[in-house]
Amino acid sequence: MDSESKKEVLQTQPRILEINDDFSLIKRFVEGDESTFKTLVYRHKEKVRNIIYITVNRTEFVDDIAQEVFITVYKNLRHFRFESQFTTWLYRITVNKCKDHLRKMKIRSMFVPVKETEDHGYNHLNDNIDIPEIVRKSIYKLPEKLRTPLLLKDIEGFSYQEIAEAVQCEVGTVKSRIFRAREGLRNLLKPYEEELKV
Amino acid sequence: MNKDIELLSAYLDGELSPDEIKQLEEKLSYSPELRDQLTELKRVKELTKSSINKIPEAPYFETRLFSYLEEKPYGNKIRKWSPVIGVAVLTVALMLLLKFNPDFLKNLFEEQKSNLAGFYKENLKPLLLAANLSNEDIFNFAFYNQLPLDNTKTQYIQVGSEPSGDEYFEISTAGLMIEEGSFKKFMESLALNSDQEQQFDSIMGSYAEALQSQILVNDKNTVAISPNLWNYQKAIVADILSFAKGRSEEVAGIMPALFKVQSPVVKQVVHSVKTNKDNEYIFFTPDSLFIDTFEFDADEFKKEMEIAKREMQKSFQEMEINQEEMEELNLVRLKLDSSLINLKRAPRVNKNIDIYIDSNVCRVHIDKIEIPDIELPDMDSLEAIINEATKQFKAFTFTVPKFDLPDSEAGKQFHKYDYKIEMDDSIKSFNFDLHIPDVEIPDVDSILRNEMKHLENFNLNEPLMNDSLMKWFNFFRNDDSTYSGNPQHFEFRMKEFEKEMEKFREEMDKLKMEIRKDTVRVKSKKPVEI
Repeated sequence: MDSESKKEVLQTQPRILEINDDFSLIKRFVEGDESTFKTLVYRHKEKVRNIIYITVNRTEFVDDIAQEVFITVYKNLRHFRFESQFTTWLYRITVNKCKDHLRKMKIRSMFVPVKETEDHGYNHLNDNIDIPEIVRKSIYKLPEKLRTPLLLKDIEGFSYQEIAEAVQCEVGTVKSRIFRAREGLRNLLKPYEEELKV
Repeated sequence: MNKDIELLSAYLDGELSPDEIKQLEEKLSYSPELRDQLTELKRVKELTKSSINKIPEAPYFETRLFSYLEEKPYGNKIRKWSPVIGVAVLTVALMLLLKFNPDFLKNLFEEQKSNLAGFYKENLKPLLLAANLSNEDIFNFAFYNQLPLDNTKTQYIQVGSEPSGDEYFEISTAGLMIEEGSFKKFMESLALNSDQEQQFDSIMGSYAEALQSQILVNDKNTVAISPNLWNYQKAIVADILSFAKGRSEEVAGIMPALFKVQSPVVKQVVHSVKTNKDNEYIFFTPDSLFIDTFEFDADEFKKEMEIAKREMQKSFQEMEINQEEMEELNLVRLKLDSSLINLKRAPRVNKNIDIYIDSNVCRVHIDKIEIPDIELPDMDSLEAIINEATKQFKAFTFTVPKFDLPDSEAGKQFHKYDYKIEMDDSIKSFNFDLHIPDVEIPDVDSILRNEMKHLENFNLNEPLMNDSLMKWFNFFRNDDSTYSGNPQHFEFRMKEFEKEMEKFREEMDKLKMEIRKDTVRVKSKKPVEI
């Protein structure tokens, strides 16, 4: 049976789910039609790449980590249990891979001499101040466990429930972490009060 | 209060229950302080939102991922072995087929090859025609292996060879950093008179023409590159150098004694490169790479071009199109686009070709390229000589790092010099003793005193260097940022410097003590809480 006629058979069968939603694609993958994996990648790669980008804050690592994420998905897709959304599982893997990466970088940085940072504290003396840049730098001074929920909310538009599932904690914790992140950010931005008002 | 602000944060995110919203809005209505907090939080949220952009899409992400997955099959063991089973079955089938029809495979390949090659070989014409190579371009090709592919110099071809001996060429949208003015400097040092200049122009001109037939393109985005291009590069270097050597004593001076290439020998090389009629080209197409012969008749092409140009000019005169616009029309441009990515998976007619594609570079590795044989003289030995000679073109520094104290042993006075010449990557040094028979060794102290006077008037104009410590070093600095001057002074300065450091240390200790006194005050400041 070629894939075309297989598709037809699948379409004629009464189904509650859409033919191309994530669950059906995974089912077809488990049944042996591996081409559906490609559709899953096309569909979700940009979201995954963006989550990685906001978490690790370095463009050069994004594609490598994203590749690791999808390889993990590919290896484990057969064991997917259809208990939660595919994206919940996917984003959890993504966040975990990012954490692994950050941990690795932290360990590596212990053995590498500290580089001179660009941040020399003269930013506010500059005539053309780059406000987004100031904010961005401040955000990445926040601890990772506060920063990730904040950015998943404000940049990616996740709900508290989705964030809780991705970072594996309670919704209440997400709520307080986002609040603490905002408070921290406010304190970090205090020196730039004047510039931010313009 | 903090609890309320936390609720405000969730309120902003739309994460409160209707009951909570009702309670909070009531509180907000009578608490101006809470309203301020809300405005503040809103502002932080807006700032966060606008601070980070989305990452640009990665068009080749899937390609890379899927080829990785194909290379390393995951999944269960049967699936792992299934390709092997397939191959085994195919092998048996092929073996049977070949037993009864031994020429089958050969014919199949030949047929496919000629079909494909014929398709891509249509309409090939010189790419470099569009670039109008200047003398400088040819000079840069010779010494930096890089040729522009179009007038606007937005694409380059770079040829070269790996240390392992593999040859490669690379088409990229940005050139290497070429030290500007190398050509100018070179020409200045030659100081040619007008006759010689003409001669030089004609040499370069002949190469510009000859190079045209080395890279061909057509409208199917095919590029054909003659392996002879690599030889041309070497021949041009040899030719330029031998020309330069004959013309200018100055240039002859900087060439190493090793460079003893006689003009007749160079002429012979150049001649054999130019007359080499090996018509093999490396074809580089959007979906395959192969090596095949192709006859490019330069003379015929030139005639055709002239006729076409004249006709175009005629019709353009009528339509009042100026010269510049016509040049634009002549432009042949190679497209470096995503369609090239197919090449990675293309069937390799020649297996020893490797390709790397990026968004702005396309690099083709050719393992053991068959560069046409050139009879006498030995290209390799010539290459070594040329390499040695061209090394000298690069700037070298000349430093006097060590100056031993005069050695007044047995009435003889020697100044020991240790010269070091640093060249690009090798360091050659030599020592010699300088004998100064009738000179009194001057009193070191008086020299130092004199130098001190000089230092007092030392004026520092550079504001960035305006650091009290920099002064000590700056004295010894000349423009090349190598240290010059009498090393004895340096020793003296080092002592001064040590004293300064000692003072500095004392001051630091004092400061430390003062800070310790202040600790009570410092402690009362609360650190920023996150």
